Amino acid sequence: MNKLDEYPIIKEINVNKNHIDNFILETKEGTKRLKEKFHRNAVIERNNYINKENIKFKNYKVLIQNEMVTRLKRIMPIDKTNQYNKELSNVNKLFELVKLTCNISNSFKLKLDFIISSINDETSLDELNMAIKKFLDKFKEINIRLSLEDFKYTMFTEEYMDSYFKNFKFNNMNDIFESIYFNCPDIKLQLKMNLINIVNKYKKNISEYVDKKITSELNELNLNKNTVISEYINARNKIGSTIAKDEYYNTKKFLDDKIKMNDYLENSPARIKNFNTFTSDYNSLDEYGKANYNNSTMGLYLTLNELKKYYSYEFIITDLLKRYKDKDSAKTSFVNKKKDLDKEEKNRVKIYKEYLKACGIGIFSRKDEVKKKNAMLKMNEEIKKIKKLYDEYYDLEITFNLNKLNESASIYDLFMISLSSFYFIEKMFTTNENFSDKDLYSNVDNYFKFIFNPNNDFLIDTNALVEYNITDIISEKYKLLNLIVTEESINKDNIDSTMDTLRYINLIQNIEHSNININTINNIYRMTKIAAENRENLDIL
Amino acid sequence: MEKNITFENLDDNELLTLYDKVIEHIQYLNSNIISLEEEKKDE
Repeated sequence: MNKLDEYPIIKEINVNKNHIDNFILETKEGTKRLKEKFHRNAVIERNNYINKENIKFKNYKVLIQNEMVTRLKRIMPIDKTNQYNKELSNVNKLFELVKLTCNISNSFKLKLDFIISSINDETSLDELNMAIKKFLDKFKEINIRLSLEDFKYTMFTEEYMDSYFKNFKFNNMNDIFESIYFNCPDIKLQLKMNLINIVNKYKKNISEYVDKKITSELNELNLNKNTVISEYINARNKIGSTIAKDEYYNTKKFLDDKIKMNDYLENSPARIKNFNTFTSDYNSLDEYGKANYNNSTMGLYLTLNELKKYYSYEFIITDLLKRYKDKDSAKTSFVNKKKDLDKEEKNRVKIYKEYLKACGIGIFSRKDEVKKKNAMLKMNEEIKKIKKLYDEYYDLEITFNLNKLNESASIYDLFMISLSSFYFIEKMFTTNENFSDKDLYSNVDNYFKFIFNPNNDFLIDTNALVEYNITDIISEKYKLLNLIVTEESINKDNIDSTMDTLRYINLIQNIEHSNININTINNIYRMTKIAAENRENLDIL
Repeated sequence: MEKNITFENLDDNELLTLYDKVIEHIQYLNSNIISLEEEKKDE
């Protein structure tokens, strides 16, 4: 006999049912009137009994709901978000250190390139002034106080910055912008070029500052340069796996109805179907087979997460491979372009001197309005020329850097080379509409996370310079681990649905490896729904 | 009776089953109420 059958409420139910089912409502004796009277009285009596019992059982219902509320407080897992936030902040610290120690330029490391990149044709006056402020603040961090001397790039940048330094709160910047704009419609471009020039001018100081910063941060975390990436990957793996197995988060997924509870219960059709996606019959596997299957599917899930991201960044690899054949010719053209740039920068200085002379500044100088006007016009043309040369120079830079690759370079190496040119990265993300919903900084940050992810084995193992088929490489690997993974199931069109199946399996595996099981989650789920259904009556007894 | 009732001896699964049975019984009770007026109309 079931333990519950002996429980008083269940016994009462049985007594109740017996009484109601056997209640005599009719009599065969007497006249029609007497029979009707008997029936009416019997119905009234039985209804009264039922109503009395109904109240009692409704009270039982509330008592059970109250008990559920008490139990929920005890069995609901604890939210450890605060504890995780501390660990995540440590991971972020390591991530910043990874960026600081990898092969990107110092201006990229200090985010100066992002500030410069934010100035374009669409930049408003306020945004322009904010960008300049951020730039000045960044230099303060490096212990360099930029002054008007640093902004004598052109007569226009000097005039603008003279007013900028005098108007701390930018109240009158509109007027000065308009007055300069009349003579120099490209003032924003000229200021942008001026900032690039300042970065080049203080290259040595920036490099010394970055070196000191790296040393101090490595010392603070008791790390060395060679182990930063592995430390970061280990820490990210550890917290990632802890969060994936977190009892509170996994229970919440069901409570918030993000996924259907019934689909996850033992022997549910969805569970059988999903577990049989990568093997013919999961339930027929022995313990060892199941353990292998679970291990391999977990690995496949992590790999496909990265493959999915790889698909979105594949256009970068395609672009680099196109450039690869021009890498030899880029050796000379890159050097020549630098020479052209230096020559034109000298020319800019010469034009600026002509302008000063025409303003009557310096010995033997005489004011000459016509020469002054000519110098201004020449300067505008010169800056356009320099800008064009810079674009060509930076475009050659990434092709030139491809010479650092050897013949066995992997896809990972190619992604790493892409980081060696901020201009290239900026161009890639700002011209691809798939990345238009986020700003450049967030896109680049996500790109870093992808490159330095703990599950990028296939990027490291695949030679990028010979013909390769990434889906074939991955599916072959997992076939060796006895999983049914076809190339088709992980191509761009089907990867999402394959990942949905793996996400399902992965959640069950994570729950099984945690301190809660699916039955307890189901109990919490049911009790929560029951308690919520009649919340106003709870605790009234 | 209700005031003294305790669920200590029941595990969570049993408590949920008990709840289901109570709900089922309330439905049973409601379905067994007879309306004399309705009966008269039917006649």
